[in-house]
Amino acid sequence: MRSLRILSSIVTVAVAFGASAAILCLVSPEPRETLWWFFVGPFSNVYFFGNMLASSVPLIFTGLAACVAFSAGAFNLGLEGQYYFGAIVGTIAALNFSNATVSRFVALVVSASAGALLSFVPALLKVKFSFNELIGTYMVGQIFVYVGDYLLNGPFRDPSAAFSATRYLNENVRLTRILPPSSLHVGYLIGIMLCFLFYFLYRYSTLGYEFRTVRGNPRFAKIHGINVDKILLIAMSLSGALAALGGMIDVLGVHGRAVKGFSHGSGFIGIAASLLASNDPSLIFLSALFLAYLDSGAEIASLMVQTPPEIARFVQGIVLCMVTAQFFLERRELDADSTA
Amino acid sequence: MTRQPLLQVLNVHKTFHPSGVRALRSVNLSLNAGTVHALLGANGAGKTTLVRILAGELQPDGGQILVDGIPVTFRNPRDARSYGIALVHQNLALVDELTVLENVFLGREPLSLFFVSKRKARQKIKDVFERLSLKVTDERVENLSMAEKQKIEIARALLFGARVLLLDEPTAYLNEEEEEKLFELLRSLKNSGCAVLFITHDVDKALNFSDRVTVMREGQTVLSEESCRLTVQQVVETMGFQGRKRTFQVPTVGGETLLEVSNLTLNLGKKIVLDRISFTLRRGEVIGLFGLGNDGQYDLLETIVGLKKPSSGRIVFKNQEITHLSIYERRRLGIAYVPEDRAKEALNLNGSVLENAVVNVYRKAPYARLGFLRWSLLEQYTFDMLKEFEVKLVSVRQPVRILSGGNLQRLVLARELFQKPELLLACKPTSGLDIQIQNYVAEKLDLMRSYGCALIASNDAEEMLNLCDRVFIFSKGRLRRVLDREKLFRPEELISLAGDKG
Amino acid sequence: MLIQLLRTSISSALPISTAALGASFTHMIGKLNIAVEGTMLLACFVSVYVADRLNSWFLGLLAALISSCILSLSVWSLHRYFRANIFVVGLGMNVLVSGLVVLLSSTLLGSKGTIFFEKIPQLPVLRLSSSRSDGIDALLSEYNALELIAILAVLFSWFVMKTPFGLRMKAVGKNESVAKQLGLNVDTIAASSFILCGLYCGLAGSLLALPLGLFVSGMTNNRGWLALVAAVLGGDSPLGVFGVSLILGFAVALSHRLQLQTNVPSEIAFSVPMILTLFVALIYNALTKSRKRG
Repeated sequence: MRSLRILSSIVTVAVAFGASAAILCLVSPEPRETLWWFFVGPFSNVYFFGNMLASSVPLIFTGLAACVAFSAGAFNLGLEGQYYFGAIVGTIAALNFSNATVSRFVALVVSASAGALLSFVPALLKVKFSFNELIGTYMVGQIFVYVGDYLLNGPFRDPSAAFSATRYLNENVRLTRILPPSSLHVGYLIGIMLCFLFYFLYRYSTLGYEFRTVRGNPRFAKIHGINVDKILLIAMSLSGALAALGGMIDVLGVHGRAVKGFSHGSGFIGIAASLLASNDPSLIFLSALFLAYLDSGAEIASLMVQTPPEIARFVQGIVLCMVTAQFFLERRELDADSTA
Repeated sequence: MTRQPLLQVLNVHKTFHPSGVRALRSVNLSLNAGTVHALLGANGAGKTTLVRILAGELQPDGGQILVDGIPVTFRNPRDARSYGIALVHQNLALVDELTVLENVFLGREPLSLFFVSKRKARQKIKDVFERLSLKVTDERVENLSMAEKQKIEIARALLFGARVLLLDEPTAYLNEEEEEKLFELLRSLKNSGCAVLFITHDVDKALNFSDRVTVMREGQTVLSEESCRLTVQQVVETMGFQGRKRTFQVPTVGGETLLEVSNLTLNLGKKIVLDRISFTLRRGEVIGLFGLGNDGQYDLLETIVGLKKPSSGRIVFKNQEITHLSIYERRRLGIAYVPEDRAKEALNLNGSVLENAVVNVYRKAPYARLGFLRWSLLEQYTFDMLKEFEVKLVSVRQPVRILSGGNLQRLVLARELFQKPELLLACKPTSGLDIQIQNYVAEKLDLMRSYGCALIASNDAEEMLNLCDRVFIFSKGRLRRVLDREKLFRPEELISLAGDKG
Repeated sequence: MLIQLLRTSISSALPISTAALGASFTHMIGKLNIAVEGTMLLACFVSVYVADRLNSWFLGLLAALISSCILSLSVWSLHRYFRANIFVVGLGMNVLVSGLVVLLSSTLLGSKGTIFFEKIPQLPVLRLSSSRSDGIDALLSEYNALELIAILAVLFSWFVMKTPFGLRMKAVGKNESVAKQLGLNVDTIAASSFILCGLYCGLAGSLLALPLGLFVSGMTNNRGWLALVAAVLGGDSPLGVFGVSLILGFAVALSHRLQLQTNVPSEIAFSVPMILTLFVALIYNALTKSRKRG
């Protein structure tokens, strides 16, 4: 059963490769060169390789965020807004402090709180009013993407910047680069650490057991004294906080400031990362890497051969479509019997 | 001149997968046109399975089914219906949110220019409804009584030309008057040439209202005879009512009161689910809550455990008012609960045996320390629990769904009883399980008497009599009668007492 | 003034209501199609591209309908035959289309920004009165052919619910096992409802793009999600779905007004429809919950 699911994931990955190759050949005037840059490009030098790892960091965080929600049976579709808006307010808050440590601390705390709030509210609506959490989280997320855009274009816009963006954060607030000349930063290690931390908590803590039980059968959990509402609220808030932290760390590590649109969909692709890893936190950094690999390949190809980078988005969509499918169905006897 | 039976069953057998239960071992049955046939048997004898096979819902593993002497195979209910065989289920095949007319004609809607014609539907249904004394309304099915719902299914079967009408426990939800009418109807159907078969528990009624009786026991047909030639005694004996022979412990008169329920009322919308229920429960007592349908007995248990909030009234357990406590707090005080739906409520089928077993204790010391679980201790706990309750298993980390029905029930009981709760609330603890488990449950309940008490809610008269000292009869949310075990009742008597008006 | 606003509201509402009605067919059978946003966006592109190439708005519409049906059926098939989670697949389609349209527009048309299609023939327009009037009759004038088709589509969905098919859809959504027991072919019914959804979403996308004769990535601007909310809130009644989507259409029109005629920052204006939708949904929820409890 386990092996069948892994096989399904492999099929998905293989199809993703195949589809990418096919489109590239169709779209590019020089297919061979394009294929090389797409598939091998990210490994061709330290700069590209490091950047690929760096671009997997947002997906590690949003993937973990999606995973945390899934592990209690909830679906957080507002990750994009939590990631984006959380990072923006975190950056804005941090800019008020000159002390690097304080600045960093404020950034992380403010962003995490904002993210948590953005997912707590729809979760509360779900719990109190059975309000569909897919629609609730998505809409709140989208609203705050717009609000974030507004903040970047309006009151907090850096007048000297070319785009809508905040001022740059101080150099010493930013995260250390670990693989120059690429933009890979310690955030990568922090992300992986958090994944394993959650993995450990999920398996060995009482809260983890409660998450698992609520996910497996909420009615069962309730009947046996577990406060299902509380668990859902905790899971969703934690999920939002993690997503926002991801955005903040991306700002601290790569961009140095909050720029309009810097998230470009990481919130949604994070869901793919979690699902591709079968919602196993210890595997998320790998699935995040795969998805980032698609992104990097597409970007490098677009740099070198001018093929549109949106190929990556298209293929990631295919991945999402296929990742929950089971391609090797067990031939179980489908009797209409009921087991008494 | 021998008439060809309308429907014949020859040597049919069926085993369920993956549980491996042999529901039917060798069944033989003959239904003649223009007769009413009663199918009797204890719980689990196979009556419902047989009837579902005849209706095309299940496929037999072997044997033959003949219609008018010709062997047939029903691949689905539609096939069976095309031969004129219709089944009125115990759990009615009706969509609650649709109206009466919509339910009757679903799949065979009368048209008027592409649209569903309510007018034509009403016309077609008029006669049949009148015959059944049903009113044609635009009501949604969910607002109707069980008796009316049943009649709608019968109407549907008749409307589409059923020659063989199979009814699974049709009298379960009817009062005496409605029952009379039903049997009258069946008689008129028989006179118009149909073959009618009804499943029942009630030997008296079976003999009174049928021409022929077939008794099933453990998947086999053991008796088939004309009703006029049989006595109630004979039939009951053949059915093999296997009440346990055990020493009956009269509860100690001085037993301390553990549970006190006063004036408990529960209103859900317009419906009165519980109507001023009051009683006390003493240590050592096992009390049964019996109703023919959903008469509030299950809701009462749900209210005591904390799943439902009463509109008024009090619940006091061990001298502490628990009416407003959370489920967790009530469990901590010593209340255990076995829910009605084993698969959906008593178990987490997505989890392992271990995860299912520890849900009541994982928060307590020494199993949890500073928010972290000590799995080795929990495994040992589970192991000990399963051993005491004779649950057969290889490893506790296996997914729980691989266990058989009987073992699953043992697991559920083990989990609830291992901590020696002082109050056990159980819904249908032996439903659908074989005699072995029933005896096992009775044993465990007996053991419970030394330290606690129990409330068992059920629809099954046999189960009540098997397990309980006293039986409270519920009807429409009210506690109507109290029966003591001192006078030994037969299941049929219990059922008729529960159905009587006033 | 108000009449003008109402008139523009109706025009804004029609794409949303058409998509909402499409989505409601899938909601009725219990398998809400989240991919409405993506389906609409693809329809936007296909309709203008084909209309431009073949010089016929009708063929553009046809192409959009076909592409949308293919998308919807794919969502259904992945769910039914490969047991994929229908929400994830819907999300995946949205992501996929967001990349696909940019790919197509840059490959086929050489640009990723707003593309104006000059060669598209003008849509025939129904003119009932002089266009400058301010009276009630201004509400009835100047509907283009697609909008008229959309209005017919609203009526059509009302009719569908009165046919046996509509009844069977409801039955499958409320109680699939009983439906099967009664011999209904659940798969055929479900596939048909997804095809209907595709047709409606295709029309919705064409409604957005063809009259304007342009395409830009992201032009649906979350209308698909508003349609989903309308479908969920409207429930079994097509009139209900239409009603809710009118309100949402009003919100969209309002947001345009705010953008063009006031100083409200454009980003906030964009979020107005979503905020309003959230409120509408909350109020609806509060009302139905209290009714149940009473």
